[in-house]
Amino acid sequence: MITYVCIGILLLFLGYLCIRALTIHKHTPLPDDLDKQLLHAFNKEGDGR
Amino acid sequence: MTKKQPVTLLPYHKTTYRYQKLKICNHCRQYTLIADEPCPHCGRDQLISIEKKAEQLAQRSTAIHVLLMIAAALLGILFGETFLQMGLAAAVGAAAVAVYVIIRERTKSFFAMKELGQLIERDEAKMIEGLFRNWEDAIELWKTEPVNTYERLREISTLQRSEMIRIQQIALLNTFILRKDMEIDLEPIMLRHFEPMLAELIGEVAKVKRDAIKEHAIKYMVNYEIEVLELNQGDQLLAQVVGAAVRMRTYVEAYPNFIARYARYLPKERFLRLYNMLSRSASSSLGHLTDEVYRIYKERYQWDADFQSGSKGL
Repeated sequence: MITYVCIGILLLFLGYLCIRALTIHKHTPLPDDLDKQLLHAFNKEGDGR
Repeated sequence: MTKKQPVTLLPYHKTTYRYQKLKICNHCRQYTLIADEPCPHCGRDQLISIEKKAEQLAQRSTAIHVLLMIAAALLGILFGETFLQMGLAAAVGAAAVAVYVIIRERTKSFFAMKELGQLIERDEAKMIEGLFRNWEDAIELWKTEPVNTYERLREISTLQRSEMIRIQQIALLNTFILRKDMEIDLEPIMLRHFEPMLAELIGEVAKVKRDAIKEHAIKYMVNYEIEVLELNQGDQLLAQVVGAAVRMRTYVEAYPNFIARYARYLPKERFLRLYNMLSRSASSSLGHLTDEVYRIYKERYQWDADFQSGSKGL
């Protein structure tokens, strides 16, 4: 019985990870956005332009 | 006035994205912008790019997930009452790991980018701290190794858009003997206000490397023309810039009045270029530049053989 529970958990976990992996592109920041994020962080204070 | 010194500047390595300049120490987790050196915080030679670090973090999360799956499969095998159950748990575990690894491999670049985003968000303060440390180190070397200081400031200015760092770079560049073969880009050091050192630098660059004088440098001199004229040999600085500007018709068309005001200071070779440019296709949008050039031509070069050959006249 426990074996089937483990297999069930394993398959559920696999399903969750696969869905996450297959939809990752929707949650991935673009390189340009990362640049903007960094520039904003470094130039929050001071006289940056 | 300080004596200018001959120097050799390393070429600036431009990256596609600014964040690619950031390095992280794999030992102390501190950030730096200065590559090819040991970590400025702990001194270890373990600097890697933050992209590489993000890849490592993504791989680590894959490994954790795989381990969890293996653990679940092992539990299944351990508690299996028959060989069939044990075999089933092992087969499902192996298949699950294989499927997950394949999918993860195909989407690894997305996971790496996600990790990179989280890393930047999480370590923002550490990154700023690292950049400040780089700036302090650069300033410490100002007197003994000005070239090194300049190169460090150039790297720092990739991310830190500070007028102060720009002025420091300008001040250092003004102490170097500039050469044509040097990689000089004025765009990143342009200031919003008038700074005599920058005007002098633009004039110097216009003298040794005309190609480096682009729209922003010309615009700066046009905007602060009156202030530049108040400088020692200010008119010469402006003439140098005009001499560089006449290399492209776009600039001549964009600033005809500015060029007209300093056309008389141009050396013969630059004036000939401007004369030929206008004689090929004079345009009404050039204002009184054409008239001014014609007047100078009449005054000085009317009988010059160089002006007769190949030009149709204005």
